[in-house]
Amino acid sequence: MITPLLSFHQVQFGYKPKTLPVLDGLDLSLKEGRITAILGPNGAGKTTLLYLALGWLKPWAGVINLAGKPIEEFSRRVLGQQMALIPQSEHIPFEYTVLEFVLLGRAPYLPSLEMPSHADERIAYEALEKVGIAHLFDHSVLGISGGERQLVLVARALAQTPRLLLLDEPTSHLDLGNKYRLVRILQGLQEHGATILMTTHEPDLALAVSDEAVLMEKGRVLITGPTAEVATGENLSRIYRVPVKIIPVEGKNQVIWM
Amino acid sequence: MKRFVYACLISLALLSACAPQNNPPAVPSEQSIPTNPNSPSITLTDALGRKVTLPNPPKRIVITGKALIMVVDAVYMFPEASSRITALGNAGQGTSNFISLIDPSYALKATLQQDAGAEQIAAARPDLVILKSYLAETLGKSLETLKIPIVYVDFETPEQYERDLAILGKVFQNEALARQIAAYYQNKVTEIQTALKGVNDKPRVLMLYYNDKDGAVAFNVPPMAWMQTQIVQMAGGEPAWSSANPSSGWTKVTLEQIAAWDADQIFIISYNKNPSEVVAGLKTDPQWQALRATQQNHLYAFSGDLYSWDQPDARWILGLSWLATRLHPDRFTQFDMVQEAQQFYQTLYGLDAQFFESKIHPTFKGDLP
Amino acid sequence: MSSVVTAAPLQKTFTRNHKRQRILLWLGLALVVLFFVSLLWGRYPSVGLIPWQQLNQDELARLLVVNLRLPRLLTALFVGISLSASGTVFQTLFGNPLVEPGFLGVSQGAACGAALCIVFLGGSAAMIQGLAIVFAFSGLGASYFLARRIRYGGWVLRLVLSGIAVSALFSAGLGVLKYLADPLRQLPEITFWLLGGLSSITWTQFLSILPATVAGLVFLILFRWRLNLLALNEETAFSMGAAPKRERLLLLIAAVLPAAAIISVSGMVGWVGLIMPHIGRRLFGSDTRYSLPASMLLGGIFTILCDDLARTLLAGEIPLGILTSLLGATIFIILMVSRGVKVER
Repeated sequence: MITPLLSFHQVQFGYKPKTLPVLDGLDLSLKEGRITAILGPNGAGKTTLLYLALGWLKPWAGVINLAGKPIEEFSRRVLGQQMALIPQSEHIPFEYTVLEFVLLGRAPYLPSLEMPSHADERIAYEALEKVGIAHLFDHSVLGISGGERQLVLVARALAQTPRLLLLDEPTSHLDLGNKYRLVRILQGLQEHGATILMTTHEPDLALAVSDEAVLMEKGRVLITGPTAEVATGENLSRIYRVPVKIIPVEGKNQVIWM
Repeated sequence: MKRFVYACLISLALLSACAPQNNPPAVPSEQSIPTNPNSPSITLTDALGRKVTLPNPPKRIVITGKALIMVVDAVYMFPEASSRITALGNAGQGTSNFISLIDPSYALKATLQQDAGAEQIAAARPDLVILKSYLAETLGKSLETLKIPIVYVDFETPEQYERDLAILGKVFQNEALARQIAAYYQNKVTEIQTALKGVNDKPRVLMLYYNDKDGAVAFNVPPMAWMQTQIVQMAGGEPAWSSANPSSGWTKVTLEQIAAWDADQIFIISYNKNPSEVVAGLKTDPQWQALRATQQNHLYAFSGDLYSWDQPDARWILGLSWLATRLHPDRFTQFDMVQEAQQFYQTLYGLDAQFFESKIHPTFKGDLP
Repeated sequence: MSSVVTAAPLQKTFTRNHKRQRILLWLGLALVVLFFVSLLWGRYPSVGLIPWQQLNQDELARLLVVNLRLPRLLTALFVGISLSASGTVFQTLFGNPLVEPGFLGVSQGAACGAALCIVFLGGSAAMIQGLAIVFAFSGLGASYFLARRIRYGGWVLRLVLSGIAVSALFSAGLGVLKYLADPLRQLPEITFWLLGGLSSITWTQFLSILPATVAGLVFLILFRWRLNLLALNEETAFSMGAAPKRERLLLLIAAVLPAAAIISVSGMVGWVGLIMPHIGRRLFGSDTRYSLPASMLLGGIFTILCDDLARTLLAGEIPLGILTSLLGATIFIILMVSRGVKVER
């Protein structure tokens, strides 16, 4: 059996002690080289799950393993080299250039007092090329569109040259065109061997891009497995509490509201 | 890299532990230069207890700082002073300037600002700087690093007056004169105290400093330690405001509080505006008319000539005498204030009657005959 | 990879960074030149530069330059450097271009602490500095925690509001001390706190602030690139290998320490910490790798110039804070109004 890249065993976590935990008895297993989508309604604990995977939050109970080792055993720097986060959105108060901003992603490789080198700048530039916005490298991050800014965040994560990409609701602020672009980029990354874990509350996205899906309900995993098998109309209706159906259209599955 | 940083920080910490003791040049509280026993050197202890030795009698004296009149008016009691002073700050108060009247070269000397720094003072190349002691920590320290001798004086209270006159006597090598001046003050005080012997009723007195700067009228009472309070006590009065002033400066009081004190006699001090005008204005104010002191005709403008006589300037002795006659007129029936003043200027500054009549008497302010 | 193809656009960035480094060096040189000219500039023996021969012959002139001007100029230099560095760090960490040590209760806290020490505790230089530092930190802490509890407006607004409130509280404290203090002995020192001034700086004072100042500034210089990282929110910074809470705290300490130490000997000198970071960013970009040292050098130059004016413009001393406010606010207005200040990007 191949060791999963990331796994959760019976993880329990809550924000306030002595209250109901947000996640309870969560089990998860992430295979390398796959795109996995975590589906669930708002408040199901999806972002919490990501923060636990990063090591930012510590579970009340249970174990989280990265490549078979508990994440407590990794230093922060190494974790940063292995995993990268692409947040939903980011408030940027100052006018950095796109390249300067993406360069920050090299931080896990630089000891506290070192400056990035030419090699680091090159890697950052290549990250921009991978998401197709290399031509923006000298623009101000505040002067580009929202969709392009989202791609800048992706590029920054790629500059960390991680094994695992964590995306937090990546398309929630994007219009259709930018969603499409992002999906294509994610698929391109996967073809090059990246492992992607993303949370989303849009089943459409999961159906379009992910290989595996994890459906969450009330802090536990309801069911997990290949997306086509797991993201059925019945399961989705159950976790979202609304009637939906899945209909194949030209070979692709589509969510239909009933 | 990290190790380099830590090394830097540690060595800095060690350096800082040594630093304050190593600074050049260490400034001792003694300024002594080896002197020839036959040379005209001067040694004295100043107001801060510092032992100061001057190798030669100072010929380029600089006096600066705030409230200069107190120091300068005492300095000019020594006839040698005028020719030895090179530079001064503003030696007057308000629009009056006594020194400009008695020193024809005043305009040449008054070149320094009130807040002159060490550099501006150094430009006058002094061989002695006389400062009030409050400047010791700031200006004094800077001057010391330039190796310019400093003598500190206070001239704030009667006791300090005598002590600081002795200091000036040493500076001008005229200790006999210093003793004479001190004796003059002491004799006057003794005269007044003798006249007041056996007095039982001490009127409750209120001293108010009137200030209408910035358009708002304010009345202030002095702290207990100041000359204004001391002359009230020495003149046989009782300060009515004794509990009111916790600070060490003038404190504003409201009219309500003034009424509550219900003093027997109220004195209005004013440094810029003519106090008689102020009092005349108050007497038309119904709120002031309601005060018992006003009704009994005991609302007075504090007297003065060029400067008000209430302050620790040389004229405080005149203020004391005048105050005593107001508080206990029955004990001072033979008293002639104008003559007292004229005697003051004659004795202390060598100014004759003609000078007095033409330059000083016309400036009389307050409730003077 | 496609390293040959990337050469051209990336080269542009590399050249620009080299250029920035060179400009920084020139700024440093300008600072050194200004420093030495200022040493010779003053009102002795008359307004202007002391001629070289006079320095050789006149002992008073030598004493003046070495014992009076030199520590004073060094302190002015550190005032500029420390306040600008503080301002840059605060602006970056709080994501707020409108803050400086004086807006977050740091300056007023330091002044209040120092004044408190002088009035009640007798005040040796070390104690004054210590109390200034303690109060400066409490001012910052109070502003920050108060801002988190305000339920009105965005983060920028909340921080400025709470900073104003905390500054006002400490200023009021200073006013109370003014009321209680002896007007002849301690009061001149308290008005000095509010307006700032370097007229009574001695070697002792300068050397006493050196450790705290240098320690903080060296730390900030070394951390200047990583500072960018800590401007991001905590989870993101963590995901890039930082320990956000700890590193931010260290940076804040390294920013407040020099500012508080400086204020304890120079009084409150305003606007330097607000303007210089802005100019630094305008000229060198927002990356603190360059804008931090730039604002520090600019701050040093600006403050030395203001101090030169303070001691030579008039026969008396003009408080330093008045000049920095006057010139600083003017520059601020010009900066805000002009849109055409485009520097090569």
